[in-house]
Amino acid sequence: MKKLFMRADFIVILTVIILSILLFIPNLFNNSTLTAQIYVDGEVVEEINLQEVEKSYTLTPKNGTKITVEKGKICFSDAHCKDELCIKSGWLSKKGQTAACLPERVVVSIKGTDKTDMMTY
Amino acid sequence: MGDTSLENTNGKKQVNKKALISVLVCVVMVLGVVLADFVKGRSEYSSTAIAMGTVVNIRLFGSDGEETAEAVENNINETEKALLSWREKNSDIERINASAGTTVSVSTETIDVIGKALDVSKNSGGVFDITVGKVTRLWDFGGDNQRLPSDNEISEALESVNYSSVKITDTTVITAEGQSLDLGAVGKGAACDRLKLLLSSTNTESAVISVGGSLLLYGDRSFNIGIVNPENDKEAMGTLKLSDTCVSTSGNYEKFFVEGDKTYHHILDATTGYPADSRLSSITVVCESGTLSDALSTACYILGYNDSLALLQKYDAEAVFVFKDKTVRITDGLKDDFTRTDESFVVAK
Repeated sequence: MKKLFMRADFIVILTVIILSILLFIPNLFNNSTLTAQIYVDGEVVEEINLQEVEKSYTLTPKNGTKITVEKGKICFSDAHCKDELCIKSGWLSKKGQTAACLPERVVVSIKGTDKTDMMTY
Repeated sequence: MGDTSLENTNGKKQVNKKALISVLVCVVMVLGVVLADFVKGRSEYSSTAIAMGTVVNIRLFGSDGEETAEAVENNINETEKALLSWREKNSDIERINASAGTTVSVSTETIDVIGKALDVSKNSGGVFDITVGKVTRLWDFGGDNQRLPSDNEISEALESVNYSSVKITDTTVITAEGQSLDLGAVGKGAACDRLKLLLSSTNTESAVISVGGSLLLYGDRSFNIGIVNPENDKEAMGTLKLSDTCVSTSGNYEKFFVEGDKTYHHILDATTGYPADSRLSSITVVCESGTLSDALSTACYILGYNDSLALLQKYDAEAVFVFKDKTVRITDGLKDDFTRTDESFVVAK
């Protein structure tokens, strides 16, 4: 009686499983990365891996516009504009979230997309 | 005996060879998937910019992403500075306003935008009106002189508001003396229409670009578009799965100020000069034309749900209405594309 699986079949199955796992590992790694980008006048001036932040700190990318960085989140903490909409945006902690200080042309954005590709507001 | 052992050796060799080929096929297939994934990853380019006084998010799929993103930003700046902003010296609209009462030659693109906006002005019964410039300047929402104007000031400014005084030809515009155009309610949508033309001359296969609340979805790729939760601008209340179209949202949370115990938002009813007294928090309009989706979102916010349906139908547009009481109404053409993501909102049947 023939065996259901031959040795060769096991080799093939094992190869596929190993390769699939190897293929999945970088994806797993990428998905967990939370990277904030700070734009000034359309150029990225700072890229921060928010998960690697150990201690809270503040950046001043332009004219007194302050950005506070903590583990897993980032926000505008001071600005000279009248409406302070950037500060009111609060903490950004999810992929695709953006806050901007329009008068100073400073944008903070968390790279990637979550459940949505783009927001309409 | 000797023959049998020869057969076995050959058989084993054949099995090994078969196994080797199978393994190789698997390796090639998996590498193919890896390569396809890598190429796909490489072919996406994202960036963020500030243009037209708002945040522009760009996601491009295809090649030459970096150059295309730069061209996108330049194109939006051109729409603002050369064509549609009343603040920009020598833009088409600034020149029309500066020479109100006389014929002014402008670009055919500006004529096209004005023509579409006038059509929506007429079909909305004038609640939406691009000649509302003098009134919007009084309120100056989001500007340095934002304030609550007096009733007298508003009545005076309203005298210049009348879309039917604006006459256009293929290359010229004439407005009434003292009249002032404000294309702020269609500018970002019009920018999306110009971007669509730009992208068709690049190596972009698909794209999604947001110019403030107006979005261009380019190509066959489907995108999940989040409709912002009016109570929390960082979260979506629902998503629309769409491709190859334009989307615009108008909401009372965008620009507003509080005076006394009253909140004044920026969506002005051009027949009264005051913020529209609407039961809606927001409306999202989906339409092939960005100019129309933008104009319709403003017009329909002012008109409210019942009066908007015929207007939307006229332009083959669809909409998601979000009411202040968190009820959501969706026109038939979008019902299958909408997914609620925040359970505190109730979708009416």
